[in-house]
Amino acid sequence: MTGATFDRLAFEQTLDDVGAMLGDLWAVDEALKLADANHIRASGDAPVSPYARVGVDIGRHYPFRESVYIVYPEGEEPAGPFGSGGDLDKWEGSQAVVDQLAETGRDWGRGVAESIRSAVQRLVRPVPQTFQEAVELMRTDVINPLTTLVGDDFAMLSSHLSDWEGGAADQFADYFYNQVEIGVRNQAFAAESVCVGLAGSKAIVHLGQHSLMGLVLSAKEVLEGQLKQRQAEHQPHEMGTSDWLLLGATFLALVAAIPTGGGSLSIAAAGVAAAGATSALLEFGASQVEDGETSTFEALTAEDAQSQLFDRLGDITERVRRHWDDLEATMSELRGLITEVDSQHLLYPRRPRLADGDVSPGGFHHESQPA
Amino acid sequence: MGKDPDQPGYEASHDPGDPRPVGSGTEFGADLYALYRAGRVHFPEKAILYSQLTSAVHDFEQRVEFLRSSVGGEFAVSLVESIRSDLHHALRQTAVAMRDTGTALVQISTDYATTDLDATAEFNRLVNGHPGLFDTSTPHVPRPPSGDDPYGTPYEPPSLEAPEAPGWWLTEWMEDQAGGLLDDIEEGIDVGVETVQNWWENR
Repeated sequence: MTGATFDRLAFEQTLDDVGAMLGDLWAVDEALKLADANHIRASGDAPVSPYARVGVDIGRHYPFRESVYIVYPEGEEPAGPFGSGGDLDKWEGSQAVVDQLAETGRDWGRGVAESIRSAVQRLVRPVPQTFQEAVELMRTDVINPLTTLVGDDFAMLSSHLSDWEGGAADQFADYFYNQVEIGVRNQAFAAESVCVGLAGSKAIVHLGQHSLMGLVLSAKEVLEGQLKQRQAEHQPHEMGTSDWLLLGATFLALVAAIPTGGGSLSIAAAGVAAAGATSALLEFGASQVEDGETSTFEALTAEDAQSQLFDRLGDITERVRRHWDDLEATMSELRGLITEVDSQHLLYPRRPRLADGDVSPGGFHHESQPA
Repeated sequence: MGKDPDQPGYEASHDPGDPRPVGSGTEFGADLYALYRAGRVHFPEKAILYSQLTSAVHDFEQRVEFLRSSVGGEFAVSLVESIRSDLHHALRQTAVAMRDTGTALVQISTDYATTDLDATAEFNRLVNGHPGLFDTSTPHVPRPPSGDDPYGTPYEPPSLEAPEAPGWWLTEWMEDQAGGLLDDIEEGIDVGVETVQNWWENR
């Protein structure tokens, strides 16, 4: 599951299932508690007063029939063993109470599911593939042509420029033509920084979504186990547990591997490392699942499960928040570095004076000029 | 012999009356040719490339904005956008500088080529010796878009809403049908009970 693409529809359906099972488990336990509180479970001692035994259907996902005693006031015993109008009413009344509990549970469970849905909107809405597509587009449309089509001495002027003299000629050679190469490298680094930021975002989105999916699947597994156990034993018995992956340990190492210059402006050499960091972040989650931490979901009752759900949801959102903060700090460093590079005229070559017609024989002449 | 240096067939004309001391001799002519070739061919070629790169990075803004919005406006993605914006500015400045420098190199080289007879001859010899390089007009450099310009290729983002469960419409249809059927059955029972009651009362 963790290495695959997050399936939003499957998540929404699983969350619906969790809400429905939560409500069902609550209603089952309330019905059993109500029967116990009134000492009418047919498994206990038979009442002293006149009574009848009736079956009540409990539970929706894993239903079972519980026998309960219906106790009659003196003198109002049913005429037959079971089946007079009065008895039927009382049977319907017992079932109606259970059905009402089921409705209440269903509404409550739906409410819990909707609360979770609302709380995780920000985590489940992003589409990781759109981050990956953006990175691939930046590479194919910008980085690759930039680094392959703008070579050193692209205009074949290097062997001719030294023959030109004057201020405009020197400025053209030193600050424009000979700076194109470093500009290309730094532009490619800026483009790769965009990629690394988007790849990091994709990794965080992936982390949050897969952790969430793991959480709801575990919750469903535990709830389903509890409902099956109620069906088998007609009472709570033991805690249900399920382990799930809380991904993320690897992410910190990946973000730490993003080159941010270390205070140096020689970022051109960091381009390859940045590209490596981007690739590693894009791969995050697909291959580093084993490095993730696990967490345990355990619950005996619906209330336990609800409490666990919200606690674990808090763990996920906190972890995702921390990763966004880490990425933000790294992107701030990259942004600062690129701003510094720009201020040093190393992000693009300075526009030469000759491009504005600022040329005179004194400022731009050939070395063969007569003295 | 062409007079327009941006068109095929151009040749420089020596102007004996031009006294400017900017250079002389065949090497001067060869270096002028190098400037002309750069301005006529290589600089426009790279300016076009940079203009395309600028457009790509400008259009990319739509994706970054969509992605930023999809994660609730995380500041880390805002920083990505600010780097993209810096890159857009750098590429645009390079595109414009390449374009204008190319124009200036053609203008300077052809202007200086008229000042010295030997240089004029060498310049024209080299131009004529590479017809393949100059058999088309100087290419037009598309204007690289600024940040305020419309996008060249609008981005169609995917929906962020939860997908509908497959077959949900079929389920609803079946429920409607079943509901209608139950209504019919209940109505039939009511009619039947009423008929029996009428018969009982009137027997």
